[in-house]
Amino acid sequence: MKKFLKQYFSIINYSIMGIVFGYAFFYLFINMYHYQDIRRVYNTTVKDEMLVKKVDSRLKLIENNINSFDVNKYHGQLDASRLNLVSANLKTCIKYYNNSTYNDLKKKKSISIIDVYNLREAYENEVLNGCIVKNLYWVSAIEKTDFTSLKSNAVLLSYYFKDILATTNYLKKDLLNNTSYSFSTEIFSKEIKNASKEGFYEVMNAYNSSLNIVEYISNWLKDEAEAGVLND
Amino acid sequence: MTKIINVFLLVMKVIFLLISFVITFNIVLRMYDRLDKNYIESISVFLPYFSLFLVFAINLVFKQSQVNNCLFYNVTCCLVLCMLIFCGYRAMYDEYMLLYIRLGNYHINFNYYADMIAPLQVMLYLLTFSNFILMFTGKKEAQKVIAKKID
Repeated sequence: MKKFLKQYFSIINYSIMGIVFGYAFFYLFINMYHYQDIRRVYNTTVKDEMLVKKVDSRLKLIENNINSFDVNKYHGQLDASRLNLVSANLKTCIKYYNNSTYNDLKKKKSISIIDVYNLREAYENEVLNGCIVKNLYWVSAIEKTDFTSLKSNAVLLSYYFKDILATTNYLKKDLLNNTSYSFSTEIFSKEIKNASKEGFYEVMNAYNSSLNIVEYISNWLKDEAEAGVLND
Repeated sequence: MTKIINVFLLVMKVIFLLISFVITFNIVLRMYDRLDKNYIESISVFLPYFSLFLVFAINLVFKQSQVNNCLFYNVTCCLVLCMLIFCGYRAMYDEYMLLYIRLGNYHINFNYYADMIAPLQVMLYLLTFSNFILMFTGKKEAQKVIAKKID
């Protein structure tokens, strides 16, 4: 009986050790796999990317629009000092768009998940908070101003602002979730979504679409400036 | 050959246990500091380490060959402790897990380690339990019989 119990416990014990061994083995290797998986980079020359070129050319266009306004030459119907303020707001915006993270990324030839995260953070902190909220959000409350041509689009603009402020929220959650992982990581990365590649395009698309409003206001400023100079 | 591997694993598992304890101690104390929790409550996290250390000490002091020479047990212990060290290393240094950057000042990915703690504790308790059973059911090393040739 004693021998039987001893053998019985021995079997149970080796079963427990087997389970622990298997689980630890699985855990260790899935961790190693995940360690490697999140280091996957997207190889591309960033400055040659279509979206980057597009954003850069639009920034140049906006800069030219801003430079077309000269407060000393303006003699239009609107208050010149207020237009000058708009011009200053747009100039500040350009600085925020040309932030150091974006400029550093343009020098790179491969994009890691950290680059995407930093670019998204720069988009939120510099572009959305610095440019859109601090310098341009007043456009969505245009009823209080005398800028009539902007006023007609105020409601649409306010929707647009709300939209671009929430564009990359999902991406942020997605990126921060890369601590968790599952069996589907390999298939997910290859077939559905590669976080480094797709994340980069998502943020650059957000950069590009947020430029619509800056470009729209800069075009309006340019038109006003030209009309003001003609009136003179 | 098996004996040499067993001796090697025996030494390694004690070293791994100490390293993994130091890593866990560091992470858990910082985690409690961040959450402003009472450090006394963290004792439950270290209990499996203490219990495993205790049985290792008993194995070594009483020279329990049924445990010390069990290759499968030694390999499993080393594997589990390796995993603990690897998880600790990732929590402290793997900045590609973006929560590491997000959590900022502490430079530890607490969320990742908090996910790991529960299964790791269970594994350490199971190793302690296995060690106990091995003490009573494992085969002891056969005593060497020295035959003297009688002239």
